[in-house]
Amino acid sequence: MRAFLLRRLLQNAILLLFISVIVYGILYLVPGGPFDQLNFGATSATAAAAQVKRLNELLGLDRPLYERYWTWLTKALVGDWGMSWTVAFGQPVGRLIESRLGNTLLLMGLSAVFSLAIALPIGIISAVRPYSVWDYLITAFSFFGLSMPTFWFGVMMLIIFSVVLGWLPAGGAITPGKANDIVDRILHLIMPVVVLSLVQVAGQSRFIRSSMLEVLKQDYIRTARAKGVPWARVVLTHGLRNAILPVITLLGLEIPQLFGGAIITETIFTWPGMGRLFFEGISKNDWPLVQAITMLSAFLVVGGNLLADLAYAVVDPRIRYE
Amino acid sequence: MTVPMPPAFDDDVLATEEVSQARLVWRRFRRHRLGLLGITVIGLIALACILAPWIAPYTFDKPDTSNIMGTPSASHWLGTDELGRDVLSRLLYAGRISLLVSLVATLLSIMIGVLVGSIAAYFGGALDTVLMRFTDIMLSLPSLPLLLIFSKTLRDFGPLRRALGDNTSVVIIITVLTIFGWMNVARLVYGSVLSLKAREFTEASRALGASSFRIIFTHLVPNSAAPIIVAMTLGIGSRIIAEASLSFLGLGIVPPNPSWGSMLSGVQAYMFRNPWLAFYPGLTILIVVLAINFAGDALRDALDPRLKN
Repeated sequence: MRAFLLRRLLQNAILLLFISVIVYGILYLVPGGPFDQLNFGATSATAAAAQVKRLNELLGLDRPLYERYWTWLTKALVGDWGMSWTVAFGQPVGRLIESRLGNTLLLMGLSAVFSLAIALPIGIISAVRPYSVWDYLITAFSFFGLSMPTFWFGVMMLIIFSVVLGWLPAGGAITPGKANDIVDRILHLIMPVVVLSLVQVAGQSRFIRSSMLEVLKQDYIRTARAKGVPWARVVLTHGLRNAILPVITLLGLEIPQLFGGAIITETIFTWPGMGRLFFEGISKNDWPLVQAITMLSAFLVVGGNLLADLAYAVVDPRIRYE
Repeated sequence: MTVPMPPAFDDDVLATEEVSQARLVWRRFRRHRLGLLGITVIGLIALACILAPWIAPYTFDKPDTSNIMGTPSASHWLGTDELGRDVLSRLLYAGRISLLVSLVATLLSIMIGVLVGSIAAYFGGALDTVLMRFTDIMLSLPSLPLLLIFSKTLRDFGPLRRALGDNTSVVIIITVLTIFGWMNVARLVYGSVLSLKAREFTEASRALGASSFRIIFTHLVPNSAAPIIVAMTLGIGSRIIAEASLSFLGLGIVPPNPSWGSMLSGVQAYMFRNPWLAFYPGLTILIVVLAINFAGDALRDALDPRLKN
C-alpha cells in the first residue's frame, strides 16, 4: 500500500510537471504578450515598440523561455505564483485565487452532493424496475440532460426565474448589504448548483442503473432473497453497497468536467469564483493568473483521482494495491 | 463462393434469401422508432442547412435597421436579432458551420485515435507503453481550461489570422477539438485490436505473408468498425455542444461566420428585451444533439446486439 501510494504520488508529480510545461509553452511561445495590443498613446509605432520593449524587460519577458519557465517553477513550488497582469494589475495571483477558491469549492461541492442525491435514487429505481414506465421516463430525462448545452440551460433558467418570474437573483453570490443573510446566500446558490448538476445527474443515473443491474444479477442477491431478507433491504444494503463502488471512481473522474462546468456556470451567473476569474484571465491575456488556475485545476484532477482510488481500497476490501 | 444445393434439399423449407450485413443492421435499426426519428430529424436539418443559400429567406448578415430585435412575424418567422438580422436565416447558415466543425473534428479525431490505438496494440512493447501512457495523460487533463487557452492563444497569433482570414476561427476550433478529442477512440480501438490480433485470421494473414500495415488496416481496424461508428455518431453530438460552449464564451467561432453557439454569445445583454433571441439557437442544438444521441443508441443496438449497455 505504501509503495503504491509513493508510486502514484511520483507519477502525479511528473504529470503535473508535464502539464505545467505544456501550458507555459502554449501561453508564452505564441507571440503576443499583454502589451501587444496597446500603444500607450505613443504617436509613432517605434515609440510604442520602445515602450513595449521596456515593459517586457521589466517583467522579464525578454529572457529565453526555458529560463523564464525555471524561474516560474522554482517560485511556484514555494507558493509564489507571480503578479496579475491585467485582471487585478500588480496583485499577487495567489491572493486573488484565494479570495475566489472558497466560492468555487462551495459550488462544486454542493453540485456533487446534489447530483448524487438525485442520481442515486433514480438510478436505483431504474435498475430495480427495468423497462417500467419509471425507467423509460428516467432514461428520457437522462437523454435530455446529456443532449442539453449547459450554458443554454443556464441562460434559460436565468430568463425564466430572474427576468420573467423575478423569483431568484440574476447573479453574484450575495446581495450587497446582506452579507450574513443565509436565505439570501441560498437563493443565489440555487440556479448555479442546479445548472452545474444537470449533466452530472444524467450521466450518473445511467451509470448507477447499469452498475445496480449488474449487481442484482449476482448469486449473493439470490441467496439473500432465499434466506428471506425483505426485497427492499436486499436492494438497499446487499445491492447498493456493491453497486456504489464504481461510482466512487466515477466521482473522481468527473472532477475535470465539474471544473469545466464551473467555468461556464460561473460566467453565466457572474458567480465570484475561480472559474470566472479564469475566464477573465483568458479574455484579458493575464497569463500568470491563467497558468496558476490551470495548475490548480490539474492538481484537483490528479488529487481527486488518487483520493477516489484510495477510497475504493477503503470501502472494498477485495482491492489490494501493490 | 456459392455451393450448389444438393437436390435432396431442393425445397423452399431450407432456402433462405441471402442477407447482407448492411441489410441486417438496417433491419435491427428500423425497429428502433426513436432512432429512426433521430436520423430523419438530423437528415432534414442537415439538408436545410446545406441548402441555406437557396432556401433561407435572407442572408445571414443582412441587417434590417427598421426591425431590430423584432418578435416573430410573417416576414421574419423567428424574429430578428440585435442588428435586425433574420434569426431563421442565421440559424440555417450557422448550422453549416456547426455541423461542418463537429463532423470534421470528429473524423480527424477518429483517424488519430484509430492510428494510435491500433499501432500501440499491434506492435506492443515500448511503442505501446509510450502511446498509451500519453493517451492516459491526455485523458487526465482538465480539458475545458486547456481548450480555452489553446483557442485564445492561437487566435491572437497574427500570421495564422493573416493566412486564413475569416475562416481562422473555424480552423482553430477544429484543431483544438481534435487535439483533445481522439483519446477515447484510441482506447476503444486499442482494446479491440488487442483481442483481434490474437485470433486465427490474423495469424493466417501473417502466414500468407501480409505486411503489418496490411493486417492492421484491412483486417484489424475493419473488424473494430462497429464501436468506432457508434463512437463517431455520439462524438458528433458532443462536439456540437463543445463548439457551442466555446463559441458562447466568445472563444470559438467569431463573426462574420455564425454558429449556433456564437449566436448565443453575449445574448445575456439582450435577454430582457427579447428572450426569444436566446431560445431558438439553444433549442436547435438540443434537438440536433438529442436526435444524434437517439440515432447513436439505435446504431449501437443494430450494429452489435452484444454491445447493449
